[in-house]
Amino acid sequence: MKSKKNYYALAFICEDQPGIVMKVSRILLDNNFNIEDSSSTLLEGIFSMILIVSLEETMSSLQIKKAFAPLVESLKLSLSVRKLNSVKHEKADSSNQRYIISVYGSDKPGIVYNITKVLAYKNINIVDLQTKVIGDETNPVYMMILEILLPVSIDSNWEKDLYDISKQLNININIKHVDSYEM
Amino acid sequence: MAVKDIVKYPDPRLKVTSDSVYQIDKYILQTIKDLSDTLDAYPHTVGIAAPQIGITLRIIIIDASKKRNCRDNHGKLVLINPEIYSYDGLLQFREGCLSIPDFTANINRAKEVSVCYYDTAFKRQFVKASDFEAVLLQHEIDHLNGVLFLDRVISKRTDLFRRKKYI
Repeated sequence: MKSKKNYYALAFICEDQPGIVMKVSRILLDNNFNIEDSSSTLLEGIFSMILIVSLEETMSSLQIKKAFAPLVESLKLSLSVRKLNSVKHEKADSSNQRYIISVYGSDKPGIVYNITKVLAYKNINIVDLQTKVIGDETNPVYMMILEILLPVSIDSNWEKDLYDISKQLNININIKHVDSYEM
Repeated sequence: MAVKDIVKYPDPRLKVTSDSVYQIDKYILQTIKDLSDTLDAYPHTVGIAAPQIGITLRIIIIDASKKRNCRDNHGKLVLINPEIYSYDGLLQFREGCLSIPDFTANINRAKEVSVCYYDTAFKRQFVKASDFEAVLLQHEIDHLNGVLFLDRVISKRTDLFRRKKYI
């Protein structure tokens, strides 16, 4: 944990409209928060923001919720606040191999579960995951893109297990090693 | 052997256009030596540009052979006043930079580039590079123009999914 700053995870979910980020960040600024890490995107018309914020002073979760209360009311947004005991910065570490897996096929139940089950059993960590239904209404196609980090010791069968489960589900899978070099 | 300190963003020297080299003198040769020693000191680093050691001159060194399984490459190459005169194709690669520690991002680059440059004897040379080596040349030549890979980042999600329109 860095210095004696306090860290919080804030999650905002709101019907999409212009100005959400501005209004949220204004309240953060007025209360001396720093945005340390964040991810926000539009999911089926719902704007979703997750922020890791830090603060020199201490505020309780309730106090943070109170600071956002007028905004929660006016934007009809839902907010969850969680105080974090510590934060770990993700370092560009070359000891863990990084892969991008893309999975796609006719939409059917269980694609996410069956693929991530293999990963979980192999102790493979997902660091990013995005899914989307693409295609048209008559032929919906499910698309999932994962970024994973392999544990330092991993049995070499993990790729074969993913290919096997994809065959059983009749979906396509593509596993790409991500090489990253400093230039 | 002189391994130099790496200049890190937000140092302003990373955002300026570097000057051309007009002749090879002792200072230029020393700069090349320092760049080379610094590049060799980082096992996971495959290229370096003079502004990264604080010298805003148009000199880069690349060494694509340091990458595992990099088939087509020209080995370690010193390029003075490099200029890309043709681009072809498109390739996405996860780039990192010594001057921006602990951050990597997907960047679109040309798959093939042709570059003219001067060698250490100040003789005009040409090189055609593809794939990883082409990415590397574009990254380093960007440094000479004050362009960082952060200027070329593409968001992952919008890159992958065309957004639906909601009315």
